[in-house]
Amino acid sequence: MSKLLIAKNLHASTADKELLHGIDLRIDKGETVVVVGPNGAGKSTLARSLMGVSDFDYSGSISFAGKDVAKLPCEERAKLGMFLSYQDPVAIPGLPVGEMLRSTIEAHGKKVRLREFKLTLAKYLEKLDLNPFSGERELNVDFSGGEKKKLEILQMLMLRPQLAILDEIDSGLDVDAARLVSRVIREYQDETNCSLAIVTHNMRILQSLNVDRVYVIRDGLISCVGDVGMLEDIRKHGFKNA
Amino acid sequence: MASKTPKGLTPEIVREISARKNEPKWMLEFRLRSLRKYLAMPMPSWGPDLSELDIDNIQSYVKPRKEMVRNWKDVPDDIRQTFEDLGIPEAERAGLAGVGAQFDSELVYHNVKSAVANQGVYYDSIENAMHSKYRGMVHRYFMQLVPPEDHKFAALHGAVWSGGSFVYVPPNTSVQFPLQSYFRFNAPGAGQFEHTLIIVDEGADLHFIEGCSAPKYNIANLHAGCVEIFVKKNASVKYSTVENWSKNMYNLNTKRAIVEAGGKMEWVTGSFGSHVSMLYPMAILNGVGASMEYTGVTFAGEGKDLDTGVKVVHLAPRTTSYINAKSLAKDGGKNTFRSLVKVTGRAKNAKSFTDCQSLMLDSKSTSNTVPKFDISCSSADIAHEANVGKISEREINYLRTRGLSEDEARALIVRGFTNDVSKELPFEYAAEMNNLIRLEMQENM
Amino acid sequence: MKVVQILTPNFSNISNLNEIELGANEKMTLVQVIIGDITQDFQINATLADNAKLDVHTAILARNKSNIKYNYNVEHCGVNSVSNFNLVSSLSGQSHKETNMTIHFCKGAIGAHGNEKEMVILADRAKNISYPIIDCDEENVVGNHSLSSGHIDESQLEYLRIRGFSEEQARNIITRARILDILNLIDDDDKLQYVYEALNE
Repeated sequence: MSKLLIAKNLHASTADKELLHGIDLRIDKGETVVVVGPNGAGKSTLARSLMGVSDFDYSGSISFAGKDVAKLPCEERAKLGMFLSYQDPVAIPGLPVGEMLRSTIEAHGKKVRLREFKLTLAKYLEKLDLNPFSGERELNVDFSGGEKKKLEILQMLMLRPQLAILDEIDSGLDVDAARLVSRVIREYQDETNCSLAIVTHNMRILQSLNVDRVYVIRDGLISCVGDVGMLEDIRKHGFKNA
Repeated sequence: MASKTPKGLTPEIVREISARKNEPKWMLEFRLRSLRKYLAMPMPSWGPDLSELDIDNIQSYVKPRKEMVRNWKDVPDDIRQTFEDLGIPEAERAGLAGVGAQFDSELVYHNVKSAVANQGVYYDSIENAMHSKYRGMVHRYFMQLVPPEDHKFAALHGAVWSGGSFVYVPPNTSVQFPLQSYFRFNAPGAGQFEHTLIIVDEGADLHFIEGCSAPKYNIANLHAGCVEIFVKKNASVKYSTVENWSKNMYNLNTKRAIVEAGGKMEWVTGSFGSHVSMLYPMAILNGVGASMEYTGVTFAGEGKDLDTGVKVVHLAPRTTSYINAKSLAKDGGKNTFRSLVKVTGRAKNAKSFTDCQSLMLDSKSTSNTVPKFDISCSSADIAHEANVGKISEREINYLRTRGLSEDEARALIVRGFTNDVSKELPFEYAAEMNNLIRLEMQENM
Repeated sequence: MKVVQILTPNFSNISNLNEIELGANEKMTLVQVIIGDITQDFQINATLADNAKLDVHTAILARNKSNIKYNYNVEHCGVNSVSNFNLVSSLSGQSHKETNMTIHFCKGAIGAHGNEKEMVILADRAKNISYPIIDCDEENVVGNHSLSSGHIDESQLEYLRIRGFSEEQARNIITRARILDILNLIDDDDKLQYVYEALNE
């Protein structure tokens, strides 16, 4: 399998504190990688570091699709095919969901055919069991927690990334919605052979997915790498032995 | 004419204007009364700095248009460029720039006039209305809502007004499409001291659109227009404005409506241009259940001092007002939102809500919020929210992770911020307003 | 530092003019309770340096023909300075009240927060004027103002009346509930005693 993303010796810090102390991570094409760890271990920081969200200082190397992206701003990484779903999606009052998506696809340098765009949006809204008028509503404004998570998946489907980093995508989803979202992610992966990095402390979202590798993160370091069997151990025994 | 004009505005100049229009006697007397008021009144002591307005040479602003730009090539480059950026057709550019050429809109205007005439609607210049069968109506309503005593520039307007529109919509008539004052811009003196008088009779409704997003160019840099709207019982009027005056303009405009029982007045305004603006559309809610909505966006860019807002007076029971104001300041621009909500003791169970948000796009700029609430009614529900701040880094970062550049993200957030106004406008105006926002966002970036 | 100022028919330690200058990292809470038939002007002028924090909680219960002018001006000069102004007034009889509130963010006051919150309960012949101004010369700040003015909800009154209170008592209870948060900030029992006496008058 060809390598899609390789991160080496990744450090992230704020002005007074180092949060990641040198993380190595690899994601191959079409692979599903899970990052687990207790609260405060640095899971979200890792997700945001891979994407290059500018709230920390970073060092280390990240290559994506053969390109050195460590110095690239997050928008350039997005244009190359990386996607990060937010744990807590940001509301942008006045900006309709559809309008945001249309502008973003154009910013990616793709031409938007309005008719086709509307049909695709409607199809995905239905698939995610979202109200058909959600596209006209303001981005993440007055949506429930679960709906916001679905909107993140909607954006993934519309933007068609090669690597989707999904940060706690199932928090706020009820059992049925989590099952639906898991299935939609799986279908997208089957269709595009994209890679997934699932950051979670809850295994529910993995039900439809074939996990290739598991990274356990503790105190800003990868403490353990294993296969799907390791998730079973963690489920039984917690992170004590991991 | 004498080679030397006397300093200041004189009765002779006013008589000349009136004579040229062949006005009835009452109008000449009205002009002369206004002139006396104007000369006696002080300049406003509050708001933006007007000291650069050459008030001693006010007659130079009032002279007929023959001394203004006549030639397309005399129009400054930046204005011509903006016309092109906005995609305004060439023929219309000339007219908008004050070149005074004949252009297609004249034809369109006549078509509109006859289309609405079939519904019994009268739409013409106020000069023509003064000599039509509606002359009695003009006499009865002209500057009754905004009397010359109101303020110095209302008095000036009363003395030297020229051009504008008169609209009368008969009872229970719904005007099918928006009327646009745009078609009248090439009238002599229009776009400077124009008077708009709109009377919408019981149960009728109208959408009137003023101006256009193209920067109207005038050598004379004072605009003191006046809009008066009479909304009768159960009638409704929407008055939309997108204005982008050239950067030398003092825009001191007065707009006012009086709304009778069950009537509804909607103000939609986008203010982008001018050097200084003082503009506060007002509604007097005079009858039971009358209502006003104001939706406005003001974008103060470099070298601009835009003092805008709204006034509403609740005089009757169950009247309601809703104010939604958005302001942006950028590149050293100065923005002031000024409002008055007055609720008298008679306005039992009145409701008023003001939501006023300001976005600072850099720290060179200034943003002020100056609302006033004067409430004398115990059963009235009054609420107000105001926020000032900048675009949050979180919002920008979120959009950047989806692949937008920082500038693109900012522009999109600003577009969302101003969406309340654009969605109130007809499609082509909304598109032009979004274009204007885009141009403002690009400047100096 | 906490300062409690009260003005009731039987006791007063209020200053009509409070000049407040908070240096870097200084914090101050000012609690004011004004009750009675009062014709007076009150003024607060505050200047906040870096990380200074000012909280002002004012309750005004104006009766009869009170005529109160209340001016509140805060200059945010320092970075991350915070001001909160919480004003609750109940205007009964023919009282008049006028409030001028100005928050000014000076250039360089990065990260400053200024909040004004006003709630007014009006009687039939009372009058309220509010002039809440936010002046902003710095981009990186947050300024908020909110005003709500209204009457006591009929259903609340009714609810208390079926429990056996007169309308007047019910109004008093609801008004008192609205200022309870402010009264809870008074930790001087003697002063609180005067406030309760005045409330019960």
